[in-house]
Amino acid sequence: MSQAIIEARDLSLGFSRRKVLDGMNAAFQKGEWAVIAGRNGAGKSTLLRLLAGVLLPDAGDVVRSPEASTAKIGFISDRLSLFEDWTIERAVGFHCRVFAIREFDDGLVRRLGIGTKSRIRSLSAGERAILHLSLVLAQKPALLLVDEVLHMLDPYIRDLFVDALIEAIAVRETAVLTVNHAFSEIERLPDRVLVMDDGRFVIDETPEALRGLMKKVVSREALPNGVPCFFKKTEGEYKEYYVYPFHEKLRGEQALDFQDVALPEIVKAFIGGGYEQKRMA
Amino acid sequence: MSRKEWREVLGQCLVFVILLAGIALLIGGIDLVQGLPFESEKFVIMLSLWLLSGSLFLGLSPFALDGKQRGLEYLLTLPLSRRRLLLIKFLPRLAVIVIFYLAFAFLYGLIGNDALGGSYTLFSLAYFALFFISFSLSVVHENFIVQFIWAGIAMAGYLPLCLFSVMRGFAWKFKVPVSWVGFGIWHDLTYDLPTLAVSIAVFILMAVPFVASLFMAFAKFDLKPARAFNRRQLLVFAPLLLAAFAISLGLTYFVQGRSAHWDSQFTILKDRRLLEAGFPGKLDVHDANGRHRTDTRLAAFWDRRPLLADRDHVYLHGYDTKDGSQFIGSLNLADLSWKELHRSPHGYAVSSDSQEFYYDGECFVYLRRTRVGAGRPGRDYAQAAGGDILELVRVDPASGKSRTNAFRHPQFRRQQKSFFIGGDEREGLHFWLIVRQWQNVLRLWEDGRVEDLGASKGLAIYAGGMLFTRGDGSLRIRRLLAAGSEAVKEIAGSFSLINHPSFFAIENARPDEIYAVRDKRIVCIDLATLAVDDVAPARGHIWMLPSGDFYFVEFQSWPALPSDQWKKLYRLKDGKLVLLKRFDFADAGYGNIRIDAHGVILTQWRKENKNEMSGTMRFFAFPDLKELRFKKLD
Repeated sequence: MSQAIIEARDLSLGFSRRKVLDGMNAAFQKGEWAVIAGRNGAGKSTLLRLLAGVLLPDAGDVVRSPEASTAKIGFISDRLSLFEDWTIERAVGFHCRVFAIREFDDGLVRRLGIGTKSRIRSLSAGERAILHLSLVLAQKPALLLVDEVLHMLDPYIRDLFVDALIEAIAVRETAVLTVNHAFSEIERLPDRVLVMDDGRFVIDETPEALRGLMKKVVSREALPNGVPCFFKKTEGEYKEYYVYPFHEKLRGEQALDFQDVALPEIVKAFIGGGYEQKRMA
Repeated sequence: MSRKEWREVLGQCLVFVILLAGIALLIGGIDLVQGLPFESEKFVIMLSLWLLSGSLFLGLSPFALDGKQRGLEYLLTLPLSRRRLLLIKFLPRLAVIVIFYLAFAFLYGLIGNDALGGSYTLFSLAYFALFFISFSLSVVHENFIVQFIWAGIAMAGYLPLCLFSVMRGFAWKFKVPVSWVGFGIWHDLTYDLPTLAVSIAVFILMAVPFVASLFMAFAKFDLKPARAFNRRQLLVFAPLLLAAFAISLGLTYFVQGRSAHWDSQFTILKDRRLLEAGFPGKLDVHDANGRHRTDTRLAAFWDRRPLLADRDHVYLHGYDTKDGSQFIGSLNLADLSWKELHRSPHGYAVSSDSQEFYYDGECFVYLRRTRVGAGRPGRDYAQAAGGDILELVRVDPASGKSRTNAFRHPQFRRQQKSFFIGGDEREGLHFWLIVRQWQNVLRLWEDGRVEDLGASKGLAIYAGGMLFTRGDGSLRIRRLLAAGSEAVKEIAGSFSLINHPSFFAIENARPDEIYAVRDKRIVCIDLATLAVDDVAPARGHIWMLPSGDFYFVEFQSWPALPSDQWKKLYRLKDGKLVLLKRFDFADAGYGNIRIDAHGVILTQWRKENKNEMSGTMRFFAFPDLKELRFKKLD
């Protein structure tokens, strides 16, 4: 296993009396694309902010490898935080000065046809996202943290955005960590899928492993004992049972039609299961 | 990053200055429409308030704009440590605060305004403290108004703590209860160097916990709600504040409690005795047999010199620290009994500086405000009905009875120190001459008339019925008549009439000549012929005594150096220098000479170590300048 570019060790963080993260551990490798999913309030954005350094943990540490210094971490938050009154030109100039960037590639911005004299306030969410991505890519980042931005983008901009991320991984072995709810467009891209619930990871697998571990059974009847059901959905007379963890020997033991499930549906099932378990508790 | 901060701060300043100019123009315009003259006091007070609000705003603003622009999160991703980030926010603001302050100080000096009086020091300290405190609260809350309220609360705690420490020190110094020391005495505290030094130190020390706690807590500043950060800052702030307060009190005690109490004032009396006027309200007469003490039972300190010392009595002016009033009293030199003759209540003084008295041969004379103006600060006083009236009080030394004459003049609206430069009479009617700081010479007639005698660059002299004023490159001489005045002569040259401001008037005497400095040389002006004769190079100070006698103290180096070994005392008489005595300091330390009516007081300062000086005093009586020695004189 390659060396971790960044590592969360026993991270804990609370807001007022609410504990958002409680002893969280995770490590991310150079050149990997990890996607974090989870229900609202699970702590995904908090984790990204901790890794980016805009939040500081109550306990635990964020350990960065030497190549992932602050200047080499790019963070695009869901708030798309930039100085809104500034023009693009001023924002680029400022960013390049502070990060000691010699060359700024404005290709992405130009492709959207945005004038450099435009104020950031006047940009659409997609345009701001592209501008922000251009800025952080100019840092030649070792780690890119992107928080729930993709779903805001129209298909064209989303392609631009994702292509730029892929290029960063390919050219510089940048580790990319994104928080996503919508997987349909990037289903085949991530190397690793993590699902968070209550401030900890309940799933941390490759997409292939995850597909193998979760199957769906559609039936009018209840599932027999011995078949682990993580989440159940009712569609009219039929019920959809999400079986997790699935083992191949279940096919021989049970006369059930175990269907493959797409990644977005797997994530959705985990999130739904999380809600369900919480309700029952 | 710092360029961004400079840009933002300068932008804020520009808006600030434009607003200020707008308001100044508005106020000036209103005055112009109403036909009122430009009042620098009004401008200075407005400017000082403006600066206070500016320091508050600049202090609170560092993160407000970032938050408003939704850039705070981005700011925290920059490759800067938290403390460096804070420093980048702090330094441009501090620089602007200092520049504004220096500009104000320059303007204040230029206008020569007394509107703030002794409160200038308090203003300065509050101005910087307000900046530091508001800066320390710049992340206390996301809402600017809430920040503003917190800054107000913090200042309301900070100022009384500082003032308490200073007043406590004053009480230690003079061994009086703190209750004697009111806020009003602040004006006087600031004229005392140890107290001023302590005040500045206390104000800085007490501001340190605010800024230090921010810098210390800021290492963990992040996007969490402000409450979490405030808790962290408070945990650092509380012990720091306690420590700062304890150190402040310790320092106050160390400097004030250990500093010699208010220096005693010494006067050589006619019969070669020595009067020591000390705090609080103690009068000691020293002679060859020892010390004879009179306790006036007053918590007072005394003016530098007696108002008058005749054969039987010494008349003194004092300041009562209990109620801030000023009084005149007499010490009977035969039985050493004390008698209070006159008292002027607190708030009647014409300026925040010390009161000036004049003995006109019959009475002690001083100026004071009227009842309506008493206790009002500069602008209020100027605007009050009757704010252009001053009263001249004449106190009879024998009976203590006083008479009052009221005078009205537009210049009296300004709260400025007034110097008496002479008094006389014409056709049975008394008049007194006064010079107000930066303004014209005025003749106040006994019947209430005020006559403007024109401007003088620097203090003027009245002698031989003539007024000597400085013009541009000349000395103007005018004879004062019963009705108006007539120009007598104008002598070319750069004159300095009083080059050692100890006495401002020749009282009840008719000298034949006066002495001045022209183009760095002492000259004698004959009052009969008005001929000007060169005497000697002016490498020292000319002393003019109320008796009309002139002396000259020659310095070994001019300007003087602390390494000087001697000074020479000359009498100036008949256009000549007559050497009276050479004072050798040798290894006894640098010496200061003070000349009084009946002798010379030499204070020698010796450097004990790097920070401490010790002073010894020696007394020499006229006419032979024999040294006087007294028992029980520390």
